[in-house]
Amino acid sequence: MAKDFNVFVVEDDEFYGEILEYHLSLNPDITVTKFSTGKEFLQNLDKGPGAVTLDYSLPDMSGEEVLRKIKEYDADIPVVIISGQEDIKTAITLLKDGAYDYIVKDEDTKDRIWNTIRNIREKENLKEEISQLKQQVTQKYDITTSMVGNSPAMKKVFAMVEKAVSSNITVSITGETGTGKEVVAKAIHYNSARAKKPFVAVNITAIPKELIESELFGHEKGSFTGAVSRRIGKFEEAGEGTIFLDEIGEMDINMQSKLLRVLQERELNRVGGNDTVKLKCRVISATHKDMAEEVRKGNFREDLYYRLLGLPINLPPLRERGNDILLLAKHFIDEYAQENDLGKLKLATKAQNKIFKYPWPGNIRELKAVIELSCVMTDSDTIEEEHVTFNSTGSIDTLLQAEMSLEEYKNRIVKHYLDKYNNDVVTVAKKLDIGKSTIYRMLQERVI
Amino acid sequence: MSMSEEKLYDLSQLEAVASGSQEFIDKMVDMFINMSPDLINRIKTGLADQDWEEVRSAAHKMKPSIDMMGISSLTGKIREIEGNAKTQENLEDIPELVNFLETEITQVSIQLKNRN
Repeated sequence: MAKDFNVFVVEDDEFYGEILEYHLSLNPDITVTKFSTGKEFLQNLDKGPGAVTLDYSLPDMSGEEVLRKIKEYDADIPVVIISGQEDIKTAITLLKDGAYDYIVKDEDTKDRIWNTIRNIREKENLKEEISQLKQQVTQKYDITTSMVGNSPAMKKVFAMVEKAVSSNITVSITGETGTGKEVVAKAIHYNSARAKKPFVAVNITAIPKELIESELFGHEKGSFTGAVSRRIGKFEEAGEGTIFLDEIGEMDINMQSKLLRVLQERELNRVGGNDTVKLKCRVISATHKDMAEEVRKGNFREDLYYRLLGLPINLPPLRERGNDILLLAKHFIDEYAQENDLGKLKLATKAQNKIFKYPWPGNIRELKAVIELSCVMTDSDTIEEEHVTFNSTGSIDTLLQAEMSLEEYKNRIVKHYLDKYNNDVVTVAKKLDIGKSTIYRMLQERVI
Repeated sequence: MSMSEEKLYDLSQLEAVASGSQEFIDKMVDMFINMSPDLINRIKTGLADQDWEEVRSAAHKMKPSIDMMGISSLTGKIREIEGNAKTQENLEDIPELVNFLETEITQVSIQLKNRN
């Protein structure tokens, strides 16, 4: 991180300039170049100063003039104005014109400058770090590295993602839990023309019903109890980027109509506010639910469903992706080995079979967790069958280990389905291929 | 410097800035000794020509060096010269103030040259 930071000191008072130079040079990372006139300084502007301290009253030019010239050349160069006397009006004008700070010459000046320069350097370092991180994120979400798979189902997904990347269309992603809906949303964003703008993810289920409107659209100060200050919402935060509405199927029906209006008008009002904010972001929504079914049942507005549908991308569950399971397993093994500075790890054939046969109800998320655990469990460079353990809550293996009677197993299975389908007896009966009356009887007998 | 003569300067502030660098202290002291006669001449010429802006600007430039050398007898007076010249009030006080300034600076310079 330590890098030469060049501060240009523009000061016509030799004595003062000398003190500043010395004081700043006490920091070994800082080099100081001194100038006594504005003209001389401006001629050397192309040497790229990291920061400038500028004496407000130079013999040949005014501080405003020099500041304007610096900002014309490169608006990012931080300029600290040092003035002989305190003049609030001038200070405000200069700060408005882009000065970083305004410091009055007195006994504390050198300490204040020291602090200001330190702040500037920290800020510059952060800026650099952010741009590096942004680049890393973009690389991370490169389609070819962030999404692994050769199965026909996934090839279809890739084709759809490519279409989404090269357009501005609204995208809806469906798929079971853990199939990578957010990964796909990010891949679309970071490979699209919006990549440099924000990606804002909102999980609808994570926000209480009463707060969702202000969370999405923001609110004005005092618009409701607890709204102590103005706050911008997620849609505004996304700006010209992408908003990702995860678990959209869980959205409250009242909120659905508000969202629909915003998407139709392409503009929104903050809660309690009159200002209209234009909607510029792309909308990507996701759900694990069967939305067409939700619409049929009246849980989701049909008009909103079509408004959000756009380009639909369905992510197949892992168990339907055939050989992708092993491809992904190897991908996660390599990733883990690399992150933890381990050598190449191999997956024994028996372990491969075990992984291949398992139904993966938690999909890729579960696979990743299982693989990471097995990488930890092995003591050699090979992952054996016994290193692969499944802990998923709904797994058949766990259920079998319970050693219950067939009757008890039957009750458990029916209860599981009833929970999953909101006690919808008709659907459950169809899924399990049993009579409705069987379920009603079980309910009556209170065995489930 | 004789023992009876009062020390007119105080380098503790400069020493604090220098954080132990004798080289820097010597450099700043030499700079003060070299630049002061010129600035006093500018003030005197300005005074003779009634060019108050020149008096103000030269006094303004002298101010930080007087503060840094810790010349307590002059910290107030240099500000008086600068202030009077700026507001063009009490201009009749300036000649005496400048006289005092010149005498003190000459003496301080001798003391500084002979320090240690």
